[in-house]
Amino acid sequence: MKRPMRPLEDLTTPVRAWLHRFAFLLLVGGAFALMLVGKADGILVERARTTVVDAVAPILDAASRPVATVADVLREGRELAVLRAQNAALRKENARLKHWQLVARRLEAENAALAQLLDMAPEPQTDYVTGRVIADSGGAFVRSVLINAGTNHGIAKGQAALTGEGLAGRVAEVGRTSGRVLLITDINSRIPVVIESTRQRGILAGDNSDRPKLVYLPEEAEVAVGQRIVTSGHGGVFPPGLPVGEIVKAGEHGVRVRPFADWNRMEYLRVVDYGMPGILMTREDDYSARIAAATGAPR
Amino acid sequence: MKLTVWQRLDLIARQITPTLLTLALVMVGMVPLHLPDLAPVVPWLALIAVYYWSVHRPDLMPAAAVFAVGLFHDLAAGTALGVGVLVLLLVHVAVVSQRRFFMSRSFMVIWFGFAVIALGACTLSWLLNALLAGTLVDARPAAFQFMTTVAAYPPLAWLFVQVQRSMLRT
Repeated sequence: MKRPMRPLEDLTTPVRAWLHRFAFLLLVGGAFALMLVGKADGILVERARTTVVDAVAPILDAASRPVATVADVLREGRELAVLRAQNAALRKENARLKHWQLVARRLEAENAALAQLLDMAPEPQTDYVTGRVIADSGGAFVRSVLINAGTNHGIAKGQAALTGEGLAGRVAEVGRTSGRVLLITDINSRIPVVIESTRQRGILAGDNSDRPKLVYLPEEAEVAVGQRIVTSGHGGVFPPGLPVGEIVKAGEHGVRVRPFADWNRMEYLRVVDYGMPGILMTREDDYSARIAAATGAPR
Repeated sequence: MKLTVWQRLDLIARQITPTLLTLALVMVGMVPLHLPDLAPVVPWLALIAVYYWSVHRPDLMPAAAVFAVGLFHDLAAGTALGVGVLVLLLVHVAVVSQRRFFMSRSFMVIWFGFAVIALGACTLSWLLNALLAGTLVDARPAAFQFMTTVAAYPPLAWLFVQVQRSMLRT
């Protein structure tokens, strides 16, 4: 192999190599320092993350739109083929749901009447903010998505994010115009839940697989495949009763839950603003409190 | 030789093209594709870019740029902070130190070299993630990601060759 003649470069090469090595060691040290800082999970890291995500959110938003459109067109093409069968199935389901609607209306009225009899405290007002999924980040080790809604749209950390089918995750970081939703399958996700039929409490713990584990169930818990899991509302911000998933495996090696949320067609997420649990707030109060918080005025 | 402002700007633009391209690829890798179960095994595009430029034009992908790319990836993608930075830096130095081996080799050899390096990178990243999570993380997504990343190398390398030919002739 013939090397081109570069006398000046030959002369400075050792010095440069030494400098390079030193700079490299410095950078590697920086990487380790970042790991420690990241592990401590301080406010600084979170702010850095939200700043970066806020900055790239418009680009991701723009880039994800055509991709979503193509995905939609492909899906519609597939669905066109089974339109007749689907139509018949939906008709049947609609008839069934109409019946359910009647039942639900009757129960709602009955519930309201009974609650009034008992002087029960009304449930806090629930608001929804819908965000579009603009990034599906993480690769092999993290299950999280970015949505194009942030504090400007009234989203706060810790709120529940839903797909049409059920709970998808929890808002983990929130910037001005973007938010990161940690999915319930992520290894860091812990959601307090109850088994709907038996009302036994547990924690839904993600482990990066599609089937999160149900842990910390009481010993006498009766667990069976097919039982529905809903949020319990314990521990704060999540409203109780959000559908989460159903038990698909109950055995010696733990209980596994299949989430209702369909990860493959998660295009929009609804973020639930539940207000403050346990504190009575009318809509106006809530609004003025939010204004006060936003402007920094004392409440 | 004195350069005019425009020539200097042009030179800077050429200098930072690989880094900008890599940053753009990090974002491309994050766009939701709505394809069944692809999200966890989407190829590690930054790894491909860092490897390619470290092999062919290390002067345009210095360690500081690798650091920046890794940091951007870790912050934007929400992965464990520092892991991407460290793995990419090590890949960079491994390639640069073995530059003689890579010089004017055939594409197949370089691709094979990439497979070896990617295997090391995915294993290390899995280990670090498990360490930081404090528990054994499922290794299967990492294994699949390794495969998709190796498979994604040829088309991306082709893209980089085009960029290198059209913009970075100097």
